[in-house]
Amino acid sequence: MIDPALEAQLGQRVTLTGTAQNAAAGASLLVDGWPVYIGGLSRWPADLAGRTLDVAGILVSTRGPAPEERVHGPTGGYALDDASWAPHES
Amino acid sequence: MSSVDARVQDAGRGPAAETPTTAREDPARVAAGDPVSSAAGLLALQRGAGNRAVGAVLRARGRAPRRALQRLGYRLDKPLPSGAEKPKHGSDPDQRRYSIGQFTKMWEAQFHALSSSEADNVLRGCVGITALNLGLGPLVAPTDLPGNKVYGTFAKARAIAAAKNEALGSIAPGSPIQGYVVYAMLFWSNRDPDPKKRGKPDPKAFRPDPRTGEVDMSTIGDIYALARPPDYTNFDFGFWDESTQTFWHANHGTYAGMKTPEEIYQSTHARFAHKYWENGEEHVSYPDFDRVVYGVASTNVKPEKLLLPTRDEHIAAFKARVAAGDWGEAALRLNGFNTDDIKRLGRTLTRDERSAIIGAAYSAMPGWSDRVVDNLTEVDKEPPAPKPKPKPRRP
Repeated sequence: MIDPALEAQLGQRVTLTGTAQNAAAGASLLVDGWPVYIGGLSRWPADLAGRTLDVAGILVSTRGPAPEERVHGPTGGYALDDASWAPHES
Repeated sequence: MSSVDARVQDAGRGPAAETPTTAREDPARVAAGDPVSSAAGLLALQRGAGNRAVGAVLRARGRAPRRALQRLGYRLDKPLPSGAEKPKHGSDPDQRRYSIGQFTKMWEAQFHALSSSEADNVLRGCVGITALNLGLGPLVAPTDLPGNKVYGTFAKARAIAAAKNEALGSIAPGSPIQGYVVYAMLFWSNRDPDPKKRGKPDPKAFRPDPRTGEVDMSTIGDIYALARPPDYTNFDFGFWDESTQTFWHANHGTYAGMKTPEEIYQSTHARFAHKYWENGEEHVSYPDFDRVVYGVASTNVKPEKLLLPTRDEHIAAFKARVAAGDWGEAALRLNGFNTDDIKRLGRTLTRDERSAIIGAAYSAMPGWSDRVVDNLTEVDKEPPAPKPKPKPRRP
């Protein structure tokens, strides 16, 4: 699926604010209902899971495995590569 | 700020390239006509010659040679033995997280070198780990096999698999392997092909039949393409290992675009599949899923420990036969217990029930009913248990 707001920022270094959640495929940031995966991070440190974070990184499109590949994983999506993060201060 | 400090080391398609391809070991065939090489043969011999004669024959044969057995990992409720490799991706009390390389080494040390198609299975993630343990090829999922029934609870699937294994009888040394195992699948309940309509869960879908416990999976659709939108994982399979009492699964497969390494998990049942509620919605283990089903499948991969009925399940089955007045079947089931248990269960029966079982035992087990008849007769001769003293009344 394509999110127009995220699609417009592909390839750019961005800072996204959302909730840290551990999805089946790895750590993700839930941004307006959209899981943005953190490239290379399998799970959030226990003290960060569930918290609101600012995550900076390069927004990339991640292609899920094609159905004919018969592989386990997300069907598509977005990720932040070279990510760094900090608790969001409101 | 913190950052991702560890990158994929072994997420490439390494094992297939590095591991020499070897053929599966060719199982020795049972010698034709050998009556003690199969459960059916043993039973026929028991019926014809009696227990003592069969026992003498078996003792004369000596101990059966130990077969090579599959055994991966160690129980989670005990520390890793000295010399065991530490899980590369860390561990918790209820989960160990191994790399593909470590999993491959464990498999090869305990079983055989992975063939290229088996290595391909490992790289598919959880579905591949389960397919590998079921002896399936790399394009197959357990849900592709129409004979595999699935159930709403682990206990139900386990009991079905155990009963099927018991019905198969013992595996004769050197014979081809066939046994029943349990696997599980986590998935999203709404299977609408339109992702815009698939976001909300379907509370009524994939619920167990209250009578049979079975779950109808005929509307599951394409398990690879249909996931919770947007961009969640399509499913999570887990293979139940009776020996270590854990599920084996993975976070995902290895494919282009995935930067997070594939990790192979060994988890307790509770860690693998636990229900929770968030924002009024049911989930199982992750936001990606809201259903878990447990399947029973036949495998030709040798398990370290065959899943069999527990002692409690045997006792429950015996009591059910007694309650139904099926005395011959009750006698047969009683014969499966050790002497102490036969007496213990015999004491829970009335004298009439014991007499009925003894009467039926002769025809249910002609020539080999001694254990049941003798032990129940001994219970009959026991003095009645003293009545408990009444508690003194308080003034």
